[in-house]
Amino acid sequence: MESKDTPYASAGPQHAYMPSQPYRRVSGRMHASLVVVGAVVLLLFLGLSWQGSRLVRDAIESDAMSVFEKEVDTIQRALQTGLEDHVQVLYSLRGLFLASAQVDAEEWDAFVQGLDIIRRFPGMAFVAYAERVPASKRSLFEEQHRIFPPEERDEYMVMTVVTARDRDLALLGWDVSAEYGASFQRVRDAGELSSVGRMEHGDYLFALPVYRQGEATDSVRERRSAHQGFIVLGLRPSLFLSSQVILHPESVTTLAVSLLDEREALLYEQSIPQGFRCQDILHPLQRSTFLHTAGLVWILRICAPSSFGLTDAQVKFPLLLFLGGAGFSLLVFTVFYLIVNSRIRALRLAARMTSELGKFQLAVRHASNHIVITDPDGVILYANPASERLTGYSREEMLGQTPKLWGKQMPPEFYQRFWKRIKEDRLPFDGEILNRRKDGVPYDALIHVSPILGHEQKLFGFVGIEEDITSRKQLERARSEFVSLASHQLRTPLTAMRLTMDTLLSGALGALTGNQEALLQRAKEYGVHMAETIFTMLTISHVEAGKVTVQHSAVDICVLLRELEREYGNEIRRKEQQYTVECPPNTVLQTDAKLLREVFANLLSNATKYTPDRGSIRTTIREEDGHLRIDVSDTGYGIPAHQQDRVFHKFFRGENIMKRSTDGTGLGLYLVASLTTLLGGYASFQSQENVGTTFSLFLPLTPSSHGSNPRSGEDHPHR
Amino acid sequence: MAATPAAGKTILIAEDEDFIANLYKVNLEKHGVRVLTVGDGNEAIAAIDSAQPDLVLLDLLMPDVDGFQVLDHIRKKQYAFPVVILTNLSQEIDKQKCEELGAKDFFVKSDLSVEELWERICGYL
Repeated sequence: MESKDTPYASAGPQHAYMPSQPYRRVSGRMHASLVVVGAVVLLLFLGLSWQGSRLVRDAIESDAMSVFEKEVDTIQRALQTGLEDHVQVLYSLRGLFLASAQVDAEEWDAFVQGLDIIRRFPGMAFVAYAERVPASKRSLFEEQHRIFPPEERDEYMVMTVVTARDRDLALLGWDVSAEYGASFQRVRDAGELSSVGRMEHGDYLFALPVYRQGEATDSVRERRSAHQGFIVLGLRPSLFLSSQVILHPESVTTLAVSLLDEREALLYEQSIPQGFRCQDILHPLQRSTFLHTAGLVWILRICAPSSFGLTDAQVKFPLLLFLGGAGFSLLVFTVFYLIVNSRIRALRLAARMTSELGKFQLAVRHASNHIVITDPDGVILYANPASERLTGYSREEMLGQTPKLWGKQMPPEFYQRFWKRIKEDRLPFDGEILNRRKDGVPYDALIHVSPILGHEQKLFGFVGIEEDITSRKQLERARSEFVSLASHQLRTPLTAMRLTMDTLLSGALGALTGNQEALLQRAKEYGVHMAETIFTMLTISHVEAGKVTVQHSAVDICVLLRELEREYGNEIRRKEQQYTVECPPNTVLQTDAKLLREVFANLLSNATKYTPDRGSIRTTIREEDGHLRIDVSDTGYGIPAHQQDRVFHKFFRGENIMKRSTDGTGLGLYLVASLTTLLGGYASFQSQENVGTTFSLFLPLTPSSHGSNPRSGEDHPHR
Repeated sequence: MAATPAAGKTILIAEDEDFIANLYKVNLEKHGVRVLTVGDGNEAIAAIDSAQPDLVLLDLLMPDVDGFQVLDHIRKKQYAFPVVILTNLSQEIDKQKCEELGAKDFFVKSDLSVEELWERICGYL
């Protein structure tokens, strides 16, 4: 409904389309920006999850780092202690030489075994005593020992007793001064335990000088003169490391411990799992520290993956945290997107409906038909401009009133029926009505009123449409009056002629000769035929004007056919035709008796007319597909094949028939088809020239509402 | 002509065409009935009121007072005799109107022979 102060003129077509476009644009723009916002929020959430997971990872890794550091310290301490212990054993062995100037192999072995050196110092490859032999005493010494390498030297440091882990190691008689002379001399001069070098096969040599008992050793000179020999220790890095750092293969820890010399050359490496190398992993935890004793420096390098000491759960936690965060943000984004999307769709729908409503309103406003919308009591809520033109009342006058303003011209029963249908039955009403304009001039209108029904058939009001059919009705009336008058004018002389001939034939005016009677009889037949033609033409005129009312009643088809048989009996007998009817008893149909009779009459009349003498005509009746099928078959002239598509056309006449007789109007079958349609059925036929024709009628077993013609119905006002 | 049960009954024919009225009179009188003819509605009303016929054959289109008005008069006077419409109007609307006004039957003149007409009205006598 538009507001009263809006003039119709202002609502041009552009107004109807304007709203939709900005709405769509706005919602489109809004859609895009909301999705961008959603995406930014999503990214932000993802970033936060990543950051959070990193923080957690860092915390966990710093935990891992401290565990690692502690582990490294532990290992370093253990190794350092082990190394010192190994070296310190030399002091114990020197004690043997302090007790007795000469130590033989037996004594040595007993002492070494007493110290349990092999077992207690697993890194030790061998311990030995190297005796100083001056060049002057070589020959004497060689009576009991061998010396190698055998070259002449100023003095010799020859191993005289050896305890080796590896019995293959042939050390007895080895003169260490040949290779390590300078280092050993430094040790002799310093008087202290010291590392002296590394052997070819990798063992590190340590030496502790032994001085003769009772001699002063305070100065280098004194120490040189008191020097007796060295206690020598061979320390094997691999044995040392593997014995000191015990890695359990079943432990979850991944760790690599490497021992390097002071030049960082790898001496030995031990790892778990076997073959684990720090170079192979990303971001390893790694630490280098030193082991040192008696002038020896080793680098201890320990390496572990960043997950060192962490449980599986701890390792996976940051990733899980990130994935959880990402999943959650995706979920939030999806929910957000769905909500936004559905809201936008709702907005679009609303925009579209607004636009359609606008178009609809425009259509209603500009409709040429009068359209009013009322509430359930008929109070007018809306009236379009056409209704102002038709009724003569302004919109202001109509609003708040009911259509009685221009109605009340029909009998009260009409309005009772009208209201019952639209308000009680809630069905649309169609009909013709007589109304009166504001200036008092009556007009005919075709009305269509529909109830507006909501949910559960709730009645909101009515939409009424009126179409002015005054001029059409006037035309119809004129035509009807003309047809009526014309037929009357034709019939009156025909009546006079027929009565004259009847009177003459009755012999009331005197006896007739045979010829006179025959001629009169023919004239009378022509009169009958003319009367039939006039009747047919009138009927067609009525059908075409839509003025034939179908009045249903129970019609016994068999009875109807028997009546017709009596009517056409004379003609049938005259042509000596055989006529049979096969009608199942009590074939009763709800139909219009008069119209159906007309249909049958035409079919029977045609059948006798176009069947030669002594031919046969047969009528059969049966049910078929919800219809009653009535066949009228003859053994007549038939219809030429090339004309068969025009059989039900107006003025159709078969070529073969026209050669035989000029009788016939070509209206009968047209009327049959028209009336059958009016009865809700249809007609068809099968024909073969010179064999016969069968016309079939199919009439609905239950009359449909289409069978009645609303335009010619009882709503028509009599004036 | 054999005497029929209708013999002696009076039939009033209201028909503006004298020629046609007379032909009906000639042919019906053969059956032993008495036939009066009048040429318009006024005469018909007068004849009905004075002669009290046993049956009226009434045309619809007549000068001055038409058949509908005659029917209306008969209905108002509550005459008991049957009225049969004999006209050349055949519109459904006319037929309905006659039925509403109390006519017993409705025949189209040109479609009936005199014999057929007699057969149909016999029953009303």
